[in-house]
Amino acid sequence: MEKPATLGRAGPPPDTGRRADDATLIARSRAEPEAFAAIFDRHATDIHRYAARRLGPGPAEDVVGETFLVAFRRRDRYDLSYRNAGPWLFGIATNMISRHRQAELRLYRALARVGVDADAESPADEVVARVAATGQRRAIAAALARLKTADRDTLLLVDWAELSYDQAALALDVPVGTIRSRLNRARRKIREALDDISSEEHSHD
Amino acid sequence: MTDLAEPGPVRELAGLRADVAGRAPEALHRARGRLLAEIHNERDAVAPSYRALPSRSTSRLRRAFPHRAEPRPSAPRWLRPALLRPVLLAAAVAGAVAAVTVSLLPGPAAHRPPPRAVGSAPASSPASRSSVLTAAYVLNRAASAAAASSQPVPRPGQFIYVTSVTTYLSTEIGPSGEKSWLYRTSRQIWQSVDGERAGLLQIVDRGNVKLPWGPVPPADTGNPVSWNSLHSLSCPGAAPARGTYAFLASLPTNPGRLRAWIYQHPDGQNQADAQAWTDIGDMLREMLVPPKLAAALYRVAATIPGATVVPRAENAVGRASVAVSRSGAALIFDPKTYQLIGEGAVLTKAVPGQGPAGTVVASTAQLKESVVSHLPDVPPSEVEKDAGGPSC
Repeated sequence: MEKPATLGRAGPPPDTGRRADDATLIARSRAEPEAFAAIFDRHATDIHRYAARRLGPGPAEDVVGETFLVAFRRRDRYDLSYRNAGPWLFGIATNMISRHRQAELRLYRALARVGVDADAESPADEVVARVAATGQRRAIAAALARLKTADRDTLLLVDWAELSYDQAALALDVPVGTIRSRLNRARRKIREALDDISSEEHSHD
Repeated sequence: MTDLAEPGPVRELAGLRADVAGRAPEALHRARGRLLAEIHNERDAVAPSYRALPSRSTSRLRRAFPHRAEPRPSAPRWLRPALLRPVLLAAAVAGAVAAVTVSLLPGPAAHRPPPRAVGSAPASSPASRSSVLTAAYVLNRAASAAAASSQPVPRPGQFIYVTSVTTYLSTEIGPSGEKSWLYRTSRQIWQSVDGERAGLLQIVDRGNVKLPWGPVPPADTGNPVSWNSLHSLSCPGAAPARGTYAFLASLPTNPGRLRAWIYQHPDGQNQADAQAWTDIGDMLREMLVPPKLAAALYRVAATIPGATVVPRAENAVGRASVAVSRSGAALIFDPKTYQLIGEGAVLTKAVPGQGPAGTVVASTAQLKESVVSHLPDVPPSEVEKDAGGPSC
């Protein structure tokens, strides 16, 4: 089944004859609240995927719901000079995710212990679940659990949500230099964790 | 802080838990419902000016018709058609192809005869030979017609001026569920050829139309005429933005190359063929399309699998037509000249509150395309501003 099209795609143009950008929709939603539903339709899938990776599907649904409620209530304060609302929404979502920090850490720790992802759906995972991959997964999960929260937020916004450095800086409301240094630190720790297991494996050979 | 080079992304991290977002459709549906509930709450709780005013321009409306600012006692909670429309049309393109007659009726359906095969057209007219018609045949005829047509060549700085009549779905969500009907408008749109100037859009409300299986729609009240500014799309000196004539003029007119371009540059996230069909419709809508490009677009459309012919159709002003439909989204052509004269959408499966499969949920008639050098003189106070535009 195809994904539902976003505003202006499946149907002929609404009011403008063209696809409006996020800023336009948010501006419109200040007088016509319904316009905000299109913001959901454009971004909810990405936010949900990101939240589900960090928390699992159940809490992710809450995060998505809360994120868009908060965004809707704050839409009067959205800076309309940013045409893409994605970074703003990911910033709100990151805050919502932080309310579930213990659940997130439990998830990573469980993955670090077992190496099998309880949330992974596909039986294809059996194929992937070779020993080496499992070991890597456990190492990364353990390292994620050990990261400082700010570093983990930054790392996952860039590497999982695929935000640019600038977008991550917007989302977390910090200078882009801070993003860069957090990211360096976090990636180095993940890589060290991977290096550790590969050297362990070699020592077993 | 450190002498070490910046570490790049960790490949193994990028793959971790990449597929865990299961059950997304249901979860997203519930989350969306929470947002809609909040939207409706706000509508009910907040300013009366937000309520039950079918016009965009509430402030002007209040000045002109102060009594209308009072909410009606049982004011329906409006979901602006502008927003629900694409979502609900998306439902139309999500299901199976339905071979149905696209016939949108301007008046009550019961009072009109069913659309017939092209009225006065000779018996040999292609539209009446439905058994031998294929979608590819109709689209290739349209391509030949477009290639042979002539039209003005606009210059940068000018505007493409298009008039149309549209009928789209309007849905109201109330305590007893969703109720839908169609609403008609006349549109005049002026779009900057190069995208560097602001454009203009006039919408005139033409009232509501009952769906065959739907409730009697409310009478449309309020100011029937609205003017809307359209923000610029392109930066001076930069490449023209998608959605402009200049952009269309830059596309390849060789069908093979155009097809490759369309499939490589989807303007959305649908499955490839569905997206290509949608994108072609987007490029043709409310636009003067260079003849060679129009021809190539139809030839590309002819290669997209899944399209069927709707031999006896009508556009939004009741012109007998032949349509080509894919997943409920139809291009409507004149059965003799094979000019594009509108679009239509039908449900491909039953949708509660709207009707069974085959229900027409959108219909347009594109009436005229031309090139003008100036926007009409409209008092700025009459024009709704359009936020956004590129930061140049």
